[in-house]
Amino acid sequence: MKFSIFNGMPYGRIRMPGNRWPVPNRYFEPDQARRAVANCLDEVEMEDELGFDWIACAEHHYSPFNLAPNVTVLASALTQKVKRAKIAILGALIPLTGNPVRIAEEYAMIDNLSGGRLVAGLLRGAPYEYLVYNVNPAESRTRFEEAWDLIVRAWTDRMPFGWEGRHFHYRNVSIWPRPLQQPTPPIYVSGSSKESGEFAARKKVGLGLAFTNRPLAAEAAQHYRARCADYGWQPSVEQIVYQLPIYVGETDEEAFETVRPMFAGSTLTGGLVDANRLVATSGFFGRGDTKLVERFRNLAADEPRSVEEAVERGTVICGGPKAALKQIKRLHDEIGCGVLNLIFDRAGSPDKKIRSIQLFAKEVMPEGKTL
Amino acid sequence: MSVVIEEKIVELGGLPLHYREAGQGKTIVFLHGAGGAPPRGASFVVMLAERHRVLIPSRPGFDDTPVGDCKTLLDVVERMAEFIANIAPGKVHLVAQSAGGAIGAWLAIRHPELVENLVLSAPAAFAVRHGPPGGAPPPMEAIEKRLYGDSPSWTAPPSEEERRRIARNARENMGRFTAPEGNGDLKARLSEIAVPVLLICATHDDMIPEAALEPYQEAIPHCTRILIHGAAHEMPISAAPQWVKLVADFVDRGEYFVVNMG
Repeated sequence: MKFSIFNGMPYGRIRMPGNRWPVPNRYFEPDQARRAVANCLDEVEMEDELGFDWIACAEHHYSPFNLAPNVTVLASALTQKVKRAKIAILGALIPLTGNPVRIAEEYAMIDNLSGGRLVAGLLRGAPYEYLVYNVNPAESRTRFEEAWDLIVRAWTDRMPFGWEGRHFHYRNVSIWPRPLQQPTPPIYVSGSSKESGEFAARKKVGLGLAFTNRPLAAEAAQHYRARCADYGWQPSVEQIVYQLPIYVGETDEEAFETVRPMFAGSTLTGGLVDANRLVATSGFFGRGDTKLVERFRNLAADEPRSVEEAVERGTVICGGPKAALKQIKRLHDEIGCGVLNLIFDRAGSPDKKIRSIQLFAKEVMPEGKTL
Repeated sequence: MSVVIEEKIVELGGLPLHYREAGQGKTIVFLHGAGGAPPRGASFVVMLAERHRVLIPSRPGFDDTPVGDCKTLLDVVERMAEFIANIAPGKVHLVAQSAGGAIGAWLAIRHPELVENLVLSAPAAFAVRHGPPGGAPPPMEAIEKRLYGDSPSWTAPPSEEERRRIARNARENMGRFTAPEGNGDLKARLSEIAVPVLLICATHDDMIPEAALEPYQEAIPHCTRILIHGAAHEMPISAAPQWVKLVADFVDRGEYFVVNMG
């Protein structure tokens, strides 16, 4: 199994009354942002040295938990700090932009800047992201598929071309540079929904599962593998990525007590839950995904209420090294994932986060890599 | 403005040549594919004719036009040159679909005095044709889905009589005009095409592989290639709004076609 570590460049705590989304940027403090940036860039160097296989980042908007609305800007910085691991962009939200060719160009630049170490996530995004740039969620699927085709075409076509689609229009495309990796960098799409799994199978690309739980992820991965078989191929285990938070403590007790305060209430702000509900029930998911629509109708109610419940459902890894390894093995066995994208930001303090990462790298990752 | 499509006949070399005419404006000569003149309910003709004069000749051997003494592809090319010189003197905008592509390309090579610019829409000249596999031919519905895709644009869908006409055209004319010099000779002379060329390709074309379209862009000096996303082979029908938009813009604006002017 391979291990990816997610670096969202989190801003840290803010003192804001209530739970609104978008988070008003009146709470943005430049000094705190400077520390967030410095911490992130220091940490990725350490993570690279500790042996993580991928250093990952992602695009999210209007929120302090991830200061990377343009993920390729962050990835570009990572290429100058990370010398060995792959740079995994998981990913750009391609239906949101009006310019997929720009994404193709920027990803190609990252592949060049990193010496061919880009992992290219091309994602549809969480429902609430569709409130950011005023994109109709009912068009999400067609915008995604067209943008995907256009980006891959821009990477692989060797002669200039124009594009006349439903959503995007160009008269001249011929990107420089092309990606170093041929014919394309390894591509992943998000695949919690049946339509996404079907799409990944049809395009013969990898599947990323995030913001879900182990039973749902296992179901989605099984659907993906079955559809891949229908299309005449079998994905490698590395083509299934599962993302979740993790905290590794010295002991199980210490780990659980560290993480427990974060389960005192919902980990999602009320505003974000509302935003997700509004979009998810406005045509974001396909007709066959009623289960997902119902889940987003009341996402907070679906959240685990205790660390123990979260561990049981596979929405967090928590414990001492042995317990963490056991939970990872269960995820591997039940989902069939070959890459875990791990979020270490549930530690409560920067020091504990670093300690958790180091413990994981020393006590868990070596044996985990043998799975 | 409502568009009237007229059925007309012109006598060339003592033989009738049937054609359709609609609209007013810059003259577009549409060179049909292997099925002959498009179905009468194909929306693109009306859409294109709203601001242009559209001529759709049925080439020798197709529809009601007798084959006469045409034996080679170049014989047909010369007959089309004669048609243009008679019906639309001066330069015209050629729009060649699929099997019409070789005719359009040859016209631009041999009769540049007749051609303002050229649209090649999924041109078929360099596609390798496979012999029919054993067993029954695929049902008409399957062929139409390959040609027209999931969302064909009709003012009225083709009648049974029209479907039979199209099938007959394809059956009787596929390979009929293969010239001794063949399309290899055309490939060698593509670089002689001096007029601007718009090459339109369908991303979901399972009749013409992309490799068969590469020679045009490689060889023609002023060739712009545009992909219509999601379109099936017969783009004037499978993606009529996008296809008409591209063709009309190219005809109207010439080399400024590549500039977004709102």
